[in-house]
Amino acid sequence: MNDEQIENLLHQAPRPAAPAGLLEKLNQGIELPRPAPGTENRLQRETLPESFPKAAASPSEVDAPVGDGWRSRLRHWTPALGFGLFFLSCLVLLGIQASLLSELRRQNTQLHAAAAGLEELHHRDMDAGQRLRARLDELERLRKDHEELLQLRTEVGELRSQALEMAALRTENERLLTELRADRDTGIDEAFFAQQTVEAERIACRNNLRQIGLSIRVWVMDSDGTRYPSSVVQMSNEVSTVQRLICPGDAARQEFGSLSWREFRPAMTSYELHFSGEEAGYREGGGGPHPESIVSKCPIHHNYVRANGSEVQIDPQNWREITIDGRLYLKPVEDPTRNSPP
Amino acid sequence: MKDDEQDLCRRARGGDLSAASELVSRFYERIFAYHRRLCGNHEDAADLTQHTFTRVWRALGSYQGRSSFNTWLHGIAHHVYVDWRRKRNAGEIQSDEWWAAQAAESPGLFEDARERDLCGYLYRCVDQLDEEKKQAIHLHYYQSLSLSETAEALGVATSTVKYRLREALDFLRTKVAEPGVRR
Repeated sequence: MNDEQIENLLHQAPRPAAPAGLLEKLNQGIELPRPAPGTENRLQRETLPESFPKAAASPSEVDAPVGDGWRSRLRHWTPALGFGLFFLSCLVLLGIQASLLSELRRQNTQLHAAAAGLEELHHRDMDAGQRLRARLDELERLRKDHEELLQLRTEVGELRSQALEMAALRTENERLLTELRADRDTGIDEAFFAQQTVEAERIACRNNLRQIGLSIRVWVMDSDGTRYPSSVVQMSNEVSTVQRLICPGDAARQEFGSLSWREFRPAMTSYELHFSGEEAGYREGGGGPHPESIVSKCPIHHNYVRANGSEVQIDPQNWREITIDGRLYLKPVEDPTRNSPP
Repeated sequence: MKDDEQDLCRRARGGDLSAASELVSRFYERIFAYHRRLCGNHEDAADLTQHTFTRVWRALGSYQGRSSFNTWLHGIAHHVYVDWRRKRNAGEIQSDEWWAAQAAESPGLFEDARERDLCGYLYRCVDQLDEEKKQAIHLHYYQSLSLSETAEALGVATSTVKYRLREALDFLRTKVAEPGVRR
């Protein structure tokens, strides 16, 4: 069977008959849209019988209904109306922009006036700020002075307590010397007492050096902390008696211990002083900028006192003196394990 | 005839019930037959026909006469059937008895029993086509729409309708040529 035969058979497909009553249902279900105004009269006229007098309607009404005329005119004038609306909207926008521009100019003028006042206010604030900054610097300086004063008071208190301790040690020393002399007079082992005498002299020498170190620190702090005394005589207020400047083991200078400060000369002291009015720099911290430097020493007992007030006794075989930038320091001789003096 | 239909449409759009009734009288049997062949029973076909005309009256204001009323009406009927089928979610294939009865109730169309059997077999093969090809067969052959009218009713290009018809004819030719089919 070819395509043509198949198409013929398809064209001859039976048509099912519609059930009875369907037509009536469909006719009852007709819901036509409401006719537009203007077309209603025309349709009524078209369905009227021929015998109805047609003069009741004018020919112009039949040919050109009202709705169609308005529509055609509206369609004709739509481009012009559109352009007119666009032109009007442009005009309105221009007006709004002009109004905004004038408002911005007025605000700009007000801001210029306010900016001039701000400049003057800025200068005034700058002056006040400088004054406040100067006061702040002054307050900062006073605060630092107050802190230094408190520190000095603390150190003075420590020195006073050490002075009391030294007085007690001196009393004990004198008592021991008295007992030693008494024992020597009684003929007890002279070698033992000689050794104890040397040890007592060494301790007394060390106490003298401690007193000298403390006196130097007090003198420096009382002299605004910047310089050392030029000679030992200048520390007459800090060192209690000239006896403190004579080492007990220095027999050649014992006679100078009974002199007054007026009669005493710098060369009469047993101790070497390793400063001569150089800058101390005590403001920058305890002991100045070189706290480990030696300020005084006893050449007899090898006792030393440092710029930070600590005293030390060394064995000359293990330690030696070195001079760096004119300042005296102690350095171990051979033992590499000792990094600092005892 | 087309001018007459256009005039009837214009009058019905203006609210003329007699014109609308005339349109119903002219087309309701064709629309019923279209739905009856597709949906498989008289009750659903009658309902779909009523729905079709309800939509016609509702959309009559938008009908501008660019196509014939027949084509426009078949387009609406097609959409009504598609909506119904989507709600049913499946189609019903016509029973053998229905096609045999239809062939028997059409005396003169088929010469003998052999030809009636062959036609019944052919129409059942049409029901086995996929939905797009089946719609093209129904509108073009069963409803006697032209290719362009079928394309307009389905909303596709004329070339698409040609392609679907060609595919459908190939399928039917293959089915008819199968062994055991009486020719």
